[in-house]
Amino acid sequence: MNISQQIVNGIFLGAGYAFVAIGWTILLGTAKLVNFAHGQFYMLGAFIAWYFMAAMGMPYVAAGLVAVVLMALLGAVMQVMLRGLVYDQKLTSIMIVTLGVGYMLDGAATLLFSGNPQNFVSPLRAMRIEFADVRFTMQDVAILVGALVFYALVWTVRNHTRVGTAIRAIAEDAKLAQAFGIRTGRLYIATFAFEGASVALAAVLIAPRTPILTNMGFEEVIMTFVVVVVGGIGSVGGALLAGFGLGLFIAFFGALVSPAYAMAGAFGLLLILLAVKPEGLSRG
Amino acid sequence: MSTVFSCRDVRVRYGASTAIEGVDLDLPKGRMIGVLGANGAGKSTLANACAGWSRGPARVTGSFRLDGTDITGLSASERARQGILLVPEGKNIFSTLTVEENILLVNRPRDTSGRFVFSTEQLYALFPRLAERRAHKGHQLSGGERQMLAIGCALLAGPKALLLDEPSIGLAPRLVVELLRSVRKLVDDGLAVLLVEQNAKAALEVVDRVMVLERGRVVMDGSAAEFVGNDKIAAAYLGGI
Amino acid sequence: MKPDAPVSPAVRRPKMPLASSMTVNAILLAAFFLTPYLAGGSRGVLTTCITIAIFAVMAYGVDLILSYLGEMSLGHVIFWAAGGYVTGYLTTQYGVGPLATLAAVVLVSVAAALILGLITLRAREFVFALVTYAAAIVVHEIVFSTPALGASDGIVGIPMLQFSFLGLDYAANTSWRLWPVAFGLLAITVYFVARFRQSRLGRMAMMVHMNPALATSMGIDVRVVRVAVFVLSAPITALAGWLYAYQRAYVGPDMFEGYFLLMMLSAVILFGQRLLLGPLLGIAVIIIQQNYLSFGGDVNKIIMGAILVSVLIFLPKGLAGSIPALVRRLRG
Repeated sequence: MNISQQIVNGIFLGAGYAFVAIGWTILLGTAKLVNFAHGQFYMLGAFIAWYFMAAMGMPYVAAGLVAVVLMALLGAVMQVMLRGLVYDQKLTSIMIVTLGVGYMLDGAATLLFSGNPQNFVSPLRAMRIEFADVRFTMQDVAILVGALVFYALVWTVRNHTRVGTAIRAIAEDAKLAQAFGIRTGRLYIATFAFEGASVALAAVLIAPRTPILTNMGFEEVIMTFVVVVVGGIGSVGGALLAGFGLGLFIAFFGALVSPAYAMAGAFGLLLILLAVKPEGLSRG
Repeated sequence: MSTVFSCRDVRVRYGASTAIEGVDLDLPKGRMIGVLGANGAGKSTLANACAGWSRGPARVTGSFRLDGTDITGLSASERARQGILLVPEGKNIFSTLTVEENILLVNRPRDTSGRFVFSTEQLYALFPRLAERRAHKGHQLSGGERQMLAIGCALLAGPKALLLDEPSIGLAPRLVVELLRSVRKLVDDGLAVLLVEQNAKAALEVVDRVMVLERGRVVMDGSAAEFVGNDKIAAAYLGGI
Repeated sequence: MKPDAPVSPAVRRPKMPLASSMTVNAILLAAFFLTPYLAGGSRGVLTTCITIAIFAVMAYGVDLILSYLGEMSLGHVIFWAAGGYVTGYLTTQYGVGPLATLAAVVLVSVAAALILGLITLRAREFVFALVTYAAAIVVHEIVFSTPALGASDGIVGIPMLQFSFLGLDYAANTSWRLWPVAFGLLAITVYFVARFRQSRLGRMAMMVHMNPALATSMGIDVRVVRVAVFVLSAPITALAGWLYAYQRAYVGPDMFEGYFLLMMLSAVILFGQRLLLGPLLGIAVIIIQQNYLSFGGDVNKIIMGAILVSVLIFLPKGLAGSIPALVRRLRG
């Protein structure tokens, strides 16, 4: 086993996991909302971008942008639908509704795009790089750079802007935020739109690795759960670290044990951590 | 005297029980009205209803007006933006945010007509301890400092009417006196304030009018002097102190 | 947990219409039993009824935890699939009889529920939903990749359900002979749920659902109640999987699909919570739509998802719960 290669694989994998998880962690930390359609959002982000490239002939970057915008819209629409339930704090219902929406998206995507695997071609994948005895592609670099830049942006907005401060206020006490004149309804919509946009962006960068299918997204969901729970709910720095940690774990587990059971291994890790420390690793 | 805020026939229900009923209120500019009553009489409920805010599932009926305009349909955050600022009882600032961040959150009105304008500098001048602690998080502040911050944030929002819900809770008596005197100065400068207080004695020193609630109904509504002069009621509320 | 804690008046048994009376339920169940016989020997109706019965039992497991405890278990698919796979594996590899597989299924599902429940015991409520959801996906992946469990092909050639008990031989070698077994399982399940509602645990669960703070102040440990109800609900869904294995003579990784989870949730929510026959009616509506009014698998997914979403957003009390309000509005 080439250790340096595994480390590099782990880092790129981890950047991907962290990227997929950031929207979810903000949504959960702020609005205390669980989006069980997350996996389908990821799938749709990939398929929309693929569609605009393959069927409409758009270049990769433009198609990616379209996917991000459309998924942001979808997220906003979802939040508007959920508005009453959010106000009444009916968390179980919210979870089930997002699950139902995810299922609808699954059916709709298969109808629109067919159930066959599609090749989501990114020009960056062809650019291979060899360095010492490790190999990777520009796609991997794009994921890593993209994740780091995105995280830096999120961190800055969250901690140094008025909107970010308002979101943290809502996370602490949504009712009190209203007394402060903060329009919580709009910020919830923005948060959900952010979730849609960020997972779509992650999909555009990560999904080209393998052929895409309309029933995909479940592995990403597991990884997101692990990242969010391990990193501490709502913690941006925690999610980034957890993502890299998980990436390294998966890379080495896959190489040492078996790639087919890597997800099971990650889940087992999550269970152990939960049993030992239910609050996750970060202050949250 | 122009009425800034008024409400008519306010009724608030939580589930099957009625918290307050048949309450009318007129709050003029430059005046402070004290809302007194025992625990559970409905004082906080009234203040919350005026602000359109509540922590629990309250059902509010009645009409509310701001400067003559009907605002009954406005949400809590909209009313706050329109100038009805509530400083709730208990948790009224964000503990995980710093003093500066709490202040940053405040929505500063662009149109300041009819509003009581207050700047951050004035706030720090009024409450110097907040200036010293500006980088500290809410949970690191003392009870008095939190109250100062809460009231300060409400003032920064340019209130037309300020609703204070039990500002004296958990504060040392000397601090209570200081705080209420600061508020009185603002009233003298034109601010309209509704003061909900359990500490009747302290409230009486600064209010113009008194409204007494008992089991959700108004049992007395008159000037502070009338309140003190009414032996029966005064004895009930001031007797033990 | 105080053994003799009085049930607070806050837990008023919800005023339900006539449909909750045991007599009406019994009549409806009897009518359901007779349906295949009254349908003129139609195989289509018979198969549909068997499917409805099995899936209804599956849904009752989720009903227990969703309607009474108010918690969402997304992992019940695991118990459903476990029921099927344990049965398939034991019968094809070891030739074990149905009563033994039944026992094994109950044991395995209870053990799985205990593990999941105890691990999430101290974590926050929605972590429970996440973990059960993730568990279902992970177990799916494991089964899919493990040749010993049939991998992607599943386990075929499951023998028919037949047993000898006290000299009585019964072989369910046709659908007609399987029907009484399926109905029997359904009837026992409904009876079990009815008893649960009256039981101390059932009432504690409802109290925890409606007012956790009050429940805690009365000495009820919310988390223990959650695990207890979860563990109790697991074998119900698992037994549905048990019978499903015998009916289809085949189990595959498709048993893990979201299709079954969505079906369980939709069935429970459609008619409103705490209606005893609600899950049965919900499943009936769904299966009848799929068998007689189908628009293809993908459109059916959209329909089922849409039903779930619409009911929760617009009719939170389900169809049955909304009828009184509708009637009131119609009256004027």
